[in-house]
This record gives sequence, structure tokens and C-alpha cells, in this order.
Amino acid sequence: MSAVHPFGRVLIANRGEIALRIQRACRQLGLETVAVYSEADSQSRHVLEADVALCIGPASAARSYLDADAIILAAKVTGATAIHPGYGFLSENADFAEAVEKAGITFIGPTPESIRLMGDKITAKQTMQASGVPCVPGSDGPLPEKEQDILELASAVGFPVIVKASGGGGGRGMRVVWSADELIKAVALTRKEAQQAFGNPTLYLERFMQKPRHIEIQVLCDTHSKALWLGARDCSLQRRHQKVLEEAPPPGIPPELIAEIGASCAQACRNIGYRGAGTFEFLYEDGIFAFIEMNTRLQVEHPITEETTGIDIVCAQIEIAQGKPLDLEQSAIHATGHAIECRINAEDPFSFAPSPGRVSRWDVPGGAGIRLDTHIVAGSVVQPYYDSLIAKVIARGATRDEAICRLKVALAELQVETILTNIPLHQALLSDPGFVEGGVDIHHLEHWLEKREQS
Amino acid sequence: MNMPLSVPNFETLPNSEEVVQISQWLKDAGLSSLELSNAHGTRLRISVGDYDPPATPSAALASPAAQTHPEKALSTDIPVKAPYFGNVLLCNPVTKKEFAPEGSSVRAEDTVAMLQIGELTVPITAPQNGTVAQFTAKEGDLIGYGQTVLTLQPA
Repeated sequence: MSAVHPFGRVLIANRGEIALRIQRACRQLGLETVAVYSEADSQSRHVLEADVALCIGPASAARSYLDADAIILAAKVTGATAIHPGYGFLSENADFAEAVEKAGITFIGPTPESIRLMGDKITAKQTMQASGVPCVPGSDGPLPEKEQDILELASAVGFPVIVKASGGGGGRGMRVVWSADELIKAVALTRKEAQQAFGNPTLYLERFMQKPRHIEIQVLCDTHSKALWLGARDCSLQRRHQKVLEEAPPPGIPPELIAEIGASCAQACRNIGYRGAGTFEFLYEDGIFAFIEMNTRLQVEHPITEETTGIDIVCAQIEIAQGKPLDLEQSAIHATGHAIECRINAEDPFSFAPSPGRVSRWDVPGGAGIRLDTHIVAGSVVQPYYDSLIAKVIARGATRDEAICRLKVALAELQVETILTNIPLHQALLSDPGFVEGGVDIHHLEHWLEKREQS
Repeated sequence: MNMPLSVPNFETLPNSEEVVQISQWLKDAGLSSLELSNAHGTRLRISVGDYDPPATPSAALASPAAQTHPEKALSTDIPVKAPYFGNVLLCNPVTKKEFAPEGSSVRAEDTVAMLQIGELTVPITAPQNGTVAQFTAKEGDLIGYGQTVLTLQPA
């Protein structure tokens, strides 16, 4: 577990802003970089600036960034002895991580076993529950037969509850119950439906979270039994399950409560022997945290944690992979100030249709507390083949208000032509009363967009 | 280039590569946009903007290489491109003989060079009959996918 893996050349198995982000971290650690790229990305900044650049396939991601065999062979022919997968693509593919290690190459990420364990949502939840990470309160198994037992269980869980069929799915075979007097009837009805629809009358029950927020905990674990949590992020502003804007720390949640959850995440990491960076995602409502899933990779929104804790998560990932112990103590990690990230996408801010093409103007923001993570330069071509994320504007302030204020100025400074971007959407969101107050739920943005459509 | 065989099935939305292909067809046809809708109320609209505008439309659209190297479009020589990445082998590793010396005649599908990728070797074959005109890669060079290894003068 504590073997030292010296490596001098890192292959970056990704593209876009994150490839450049990883390249910077490698440079700072004195490591050479290999950029593997598709034909479409031959003029991309991280490719032009890499120590070694190798085109591994055509534009199709399946034949380039998702081609595990090609990437491992590319590491061999370029002499790279470590692979950083970034996010997306192969980053949470346990088979890839395993193949990399079998080829004698260091995988900058968790063990294949951890990736596999967390990839299965049921085993992930069971593992977390066993480690004391809070999950959605519920029956933890089939509902009892006796009416009195069901009533007692439901009041212990707390109303509203959702009664679900074990064999159900896809939104069928479930019923929300708002109070105790509706419960028995609802259970009987759902049981009947479950029997008819799925041939299985088994039901279970969970607390129904109506307006949850998406809160996540960043963890960092070395191979010397140290597991740390680096604070929480609020990623509630989402559209179709895609995060749009994130902030740290989550507004309005008591730091003691976050610390308690953070400590349970770190303990879970120790229990499963987790390695590297990871994120525990939770739904949060009325003071209750409920574990959803763990992401066993670097997150898009990692910079807001870096900005509030001062810890370079990507450098830490690489050093952990080298077998170095984390030179950090939990007691010394504090979230200072506030950071907000806007994901800038090449898309129509109203229809959300992708807007690929040549970026003829790219005037970037700057000044105190502003960070821009991007691979775009004036003249870059935004490819139609991949994700539309072109930049992340991150603002840090002593207070949330200061961060918002800096972000507004930065977004006004970021001038992009002639592709369309979602900058106008972010500008409108930063002035939305709900956002300004803080603590909106995961449905807020969708509702906001519906209203915008109607007006 | 790929010629339009049929419009993609519109039961599901086309993926990004298909959208690129459709926009290429639109460009070829001199159209600026296309709109499709189906019975489920799904609507697809593709507009062709100024994305990578070709300088000389007919020649530039013929091959992606021509867009970045317009001077090559004028030459009649045909590039022989690497089907994968790896180190170039111009000589047969067993017989040590050159696969296709400059000036030699080759037929379509003949191996003109090989790529060494670790323990694997992948042949690079001639796309058509011709005479080897010029090598653009040296023995042992690490080359990427799609990179030109040599040019052929068509027979």
C-alpha cells in the first residue's frame, strides 16, 4: 500500500480545460506530459503545449478518448509511466483502471476495486450505511405486515414518506404519503399495484425529500491511511441533472453539521481503503443529509474547494499516486471565504442548443479573486463532437456577496464572439433573488427556466 | 469524403458526429439550415454557421487534409496515412528489406510500411496502385493516427 511509485512522464487521457489543468499540475511538480488527442483536437492548447503529443484516433470519442487499449498503448510508445484520466471519459471505468495497472502503469485515481464498489449504487449505499454515512432514512428493507408497525416506522422516518415497490422503477410503483392518516390506504393500494405491475408485492418506504439541495463533500486520501475531507460544495443549480453553477461553502448550513458529515465520509474512506480524490454526493433537506453516490474521480467543480481551502487537489492526486503521504492535517483544513464557479458552455442561452465554431474574440476577465480555467484562446475552434464546456469562471471573496460581485464583473469582462455561450444565463442567475438569498433547491433552476419561457 | 447514403433515423436524436455529417451535406448542397420534426413532437434544427469555412469549397471539402494544407490539394500525389499510431518501420523487421523504396511501384493493399506499437505491428497499406513518390516520415519516427507516411503518384 505504501510503495513509492516514482514517475516522470504523465499521460493525460482527456481533453479540453481539464487536460490543461492537469498539465499545469504536472509542470508544477516537475513532470513531463503526454497529450493524447483526437484528430479534431490537434490545435488544442494542451496538445500544442505538451512535451509529447500523439494523435490516437479520429474525432469520434469512442475511437480516441474512450479507447482504453489505444490509450494504454500510447503510454507505452511515449514512455509515460502514469495516466491521469481527468473527469468523464474513462475516469470511472474500473476495467480501464485495472488494465492500466496490469500494464505496469500508475493509475492516478482510486483502485479498480473502489471504482467498482461505488459504481454499483446498491453496494455503494450499503457500504456507506455500514460506515455511518447518512442515507435517506427509511425502512431499510421490506415493510412490516402489521399496520401498527408500518405506522410506527413511518412516524420514526418522518412525513412525507414515499412508499416504493421493491420491483418497481422508472417512476412507477411509488406513492408519496403526506400524513399518517393516509398511510395504510396508500400502502394497500401500492401493494396491489406492485403485485399487478411487477408480480411482487414487496414494498419499502423512505423519507420523501421534496425540495432537497445537492451538497457534496470532497475527500482526499493517501496510501498511508490518511483520509481528509476538504469541505462541502453546493451544486443545487442544475438543468437536466447537469450542474450549471456551484459554490463553496453551501450557504446557510451550519459548519458543525457539515463537519459531522465530512468526518463520516473520511471514516468511510478509511474503511474501504479509498485512495486519491473523491466526492460524496448528498441530498440535503431540513437538516437531513442523504447519501446518493460517490464519484471516484476529480470533479469539474473542484476549483471552488481549491479556492476556499488553498489545497491543490490535482497536485495532491498526483503525489498520492506517487506514494507520498499527504502533508496535511484535518485540523488545519478550513474553508476560508466563499467561492463560486460558473460553467461556461458553448450553447444558446435560451434553447441550450450547442453552438460549436470558431471563437473569433476571447477577452478574458482578471483581477483579485478571479480564476479562469479554460483551454480556449482567440481563434480556437469549439468542436461539435464533445461536451460544450469551454471555460470555468471562478470567483473568490471574503464573503459570498463579494464573490457574487466579483463574478458579475468577471462575466461582463468575458467577451466571446461569434459562438453563443450561456454567459447571459449566468448573469441572470446571479441577480435572481432566490440565488442571492442562497440555499435554493435542485428544482430551482428548472422552475426558473419555465417561468422565463412563459414571460 | 463520406457521401450521404441516407438521412439518419430520426426516432432518436442524431449524435454529434451525425450532426456534423448532416451539416457537411447541407454545406455541400449550399443550404444554410435544416429542420426536422417527428410525430413525438421532437424537433431538430441544424444551422450551418461560419464553422471552419473552406477557402475553395469544392477542393477543400474533398478531404480534411486539404483544409489545413491547401497547397497539397493542388498536387496529384496521394497521401498514405497511418491507420493507427506508432513507430514507423520502413523495412521488414525480418528480411530488413525496404517495403516500398522511393520510385517503386505498388498495388492497392500492398504493405508500404509498418507501425510498431510496443509488441504489436500494424501494416500501412497503399490505398491504390501507384509509384512511391516521397517519404514524409523516417524509420523509427513516432507518428500519430492519420499522419502521412508517404505519398503515391497514382498509376
